[in-house]
Amino acid sequence: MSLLIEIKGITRLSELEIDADKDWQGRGIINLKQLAALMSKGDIVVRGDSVLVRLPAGPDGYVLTSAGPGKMPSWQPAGGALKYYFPVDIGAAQSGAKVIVAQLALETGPVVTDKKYAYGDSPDDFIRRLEGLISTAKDTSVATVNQSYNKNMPVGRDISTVVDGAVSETAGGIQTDETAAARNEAANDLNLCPMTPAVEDKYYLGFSRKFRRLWINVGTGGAGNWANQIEYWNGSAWVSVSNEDDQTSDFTMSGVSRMDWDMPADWVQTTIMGMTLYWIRIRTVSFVNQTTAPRGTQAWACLVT
Amino acid sequence: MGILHGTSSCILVRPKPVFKLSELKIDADKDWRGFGITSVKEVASGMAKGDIVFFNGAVLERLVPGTIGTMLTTHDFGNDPTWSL
Repeated sequence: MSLLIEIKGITRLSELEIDADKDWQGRGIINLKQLAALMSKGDIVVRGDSVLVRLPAGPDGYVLTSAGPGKMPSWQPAGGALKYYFPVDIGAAQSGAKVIVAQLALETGPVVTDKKYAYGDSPDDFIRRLEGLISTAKDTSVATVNQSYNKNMPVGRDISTVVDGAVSETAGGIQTDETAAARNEAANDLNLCPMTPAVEDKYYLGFSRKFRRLWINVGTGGAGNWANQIEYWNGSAWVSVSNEDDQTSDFTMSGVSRMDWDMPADWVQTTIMGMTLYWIRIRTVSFVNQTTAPRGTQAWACLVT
Repeated sequence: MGILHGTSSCILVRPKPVFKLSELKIDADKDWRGFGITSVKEVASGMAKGDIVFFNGAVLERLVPGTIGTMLTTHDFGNDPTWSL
């Protein structure tokens, strides 16, 4: 009896079925061209939500900046952590700089020459008389200098840094974490409201300390007819800010513009998508139509009030 | 080849081939010859979101995110990078 059992095995890696995680047991994998899909020169590898992903190289001079545990790091301008070095508001009103200098000089001293030259054997009419009187009264030398200046220039306004959190929320309540997009320079990656578009679309922007000014780079100004409102969390409800000044005109103005409001005394932190920050939200309160959806590029919170 | 030869009563058996990665014995370093591996979940053990990878002189090691706002800082050649202000 002769029995031959021959089972065809694989000879190429391409034939191998990938069906499970694999513990490589400390063995090395070398000479890899890439770990994450579509890597380019300068990319680094970061663990994403579930797999390794590529983080493209940042602009020249940017530094890799942490967004905290459980969040993706991003490339930010060097010094982006300025708030951690100066965790205080900076305001300088130098009212004491007024200086008055009075220079008064009176030079009225008379210069007098009263000399007589005579030769002892000279007749009287030969006596040379030099009796000239020279008198100088220099009235014009009185000088009054009043140097007065007032340095009341505020110092340190608009020291801003990128926001710590950004979240879009549709009218249906679907929230999307756009923090990384708000902190980088990639254009038009913020879905500003109204994004559905509809009433009750919202956009949240948060920072670790209270702020009363927000700078936002609107990459694409929206077109249409709607109105937004800025609100904050007072511990029990979202309420409108006082003296809202929205230079973005409800995100219809492209470019870098500011939003101002009075600092709410009862503003407290709340948690949006796991981020506990001082949040403002821009909420669409009326909507008629939209022909162009607004898109944002980057947002900064002003550190100085 | 692992083939047993017999005269009258003989069973010839080849080693069991593998068809799944889970069955593959990892017994050596592997040169991937420039081919890519994508959608890798982790290269260092226990990686979580935001971790980055650096070489510690022996193997790839995970570096967990620093506190918010810290920046990746080098410490000269031959030393591990850290997150610092």
